[in-house]
Amino acid sequence: MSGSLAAEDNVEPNMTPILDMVFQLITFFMLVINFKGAALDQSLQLPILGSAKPIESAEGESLLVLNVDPDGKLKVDGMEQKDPTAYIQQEARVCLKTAQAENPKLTANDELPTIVVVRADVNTHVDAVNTIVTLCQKQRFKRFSFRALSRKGDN
Amino acid sequence: MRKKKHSSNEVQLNLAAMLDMAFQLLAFFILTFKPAAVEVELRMNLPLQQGVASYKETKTETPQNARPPDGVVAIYEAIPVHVDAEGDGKISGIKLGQRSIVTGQANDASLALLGQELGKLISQPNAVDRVEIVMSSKLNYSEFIRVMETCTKQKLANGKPLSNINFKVK
Repeated sequence: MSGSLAAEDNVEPNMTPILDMVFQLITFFMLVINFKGAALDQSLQLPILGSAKPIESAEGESLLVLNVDPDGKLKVDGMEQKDPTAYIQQEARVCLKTAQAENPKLTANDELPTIVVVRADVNTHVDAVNTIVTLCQKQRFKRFSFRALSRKGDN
Repeated sequence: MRKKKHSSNEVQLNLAAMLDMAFQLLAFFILTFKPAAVEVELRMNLPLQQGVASYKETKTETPQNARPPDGVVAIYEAIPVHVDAEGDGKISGIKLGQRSIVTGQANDASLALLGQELGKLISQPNAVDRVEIVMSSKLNYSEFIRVMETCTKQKLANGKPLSNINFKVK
């Protein structure tokens, strides 16, 4: 790419600006890689809801992502949870410990500050979603975020 | 980045190899870049006391119409929205109390009508600020979230958005 002449009048293009620009582009693409995507089951076809609010996540807000497939099975990080009750109980214990580390006044009877993210397929029956929500409520989860897409995606 | 020495034994850093590598990396990132569709959310507070476990017919009076007949005062703790579904999970009808708002499959216009009628009820002074959505278990998630969105878009008499919503499955 660089043409160098071994003569006195050496004409060589200055590569520095182009290299800087390329590195900036690489940095951009590296930063926009979504590492959190693993928790979000991309096999689910979320419903499209154009006018819903974009996700608001405050600093330090803890999330419990629950994927519900079309058969009503609970999936977390791509793994099916055979016993959703036991899984949610376990997560509630972890969430309580984490919350108590930040707020020691929090007791086991208080509502958990963790937001339960419900991601269900368009064809999932609402009965299955309701079962998951009820299990979470019994473990003192109160805050729920039902997810959809703003437009049709590729997944 | 590079120092040029204007002497006979000039040492020059060859940037061509580095640039080639940088372009290859750039090409890789461009080709593998797949922007995911932006997820949106319906955020709700659903404490347990507003149970969603099982369907139980509301015993309080339900709104027959947006305005009750003269001399009759409708008393209800929560405005019930009944959503029925067909076998394929699509909405087959919506009732606001006993009043049928949508018959057959719901499109955007019919959900807008539901929102309009619900808005009329909850925006009245001293109106009930709670909505209870009673759904058929066959309803699918996409239809459920459309109904929920319609309800959350409505505003109370004080201008605040309706947030006191719970749902039941029958």
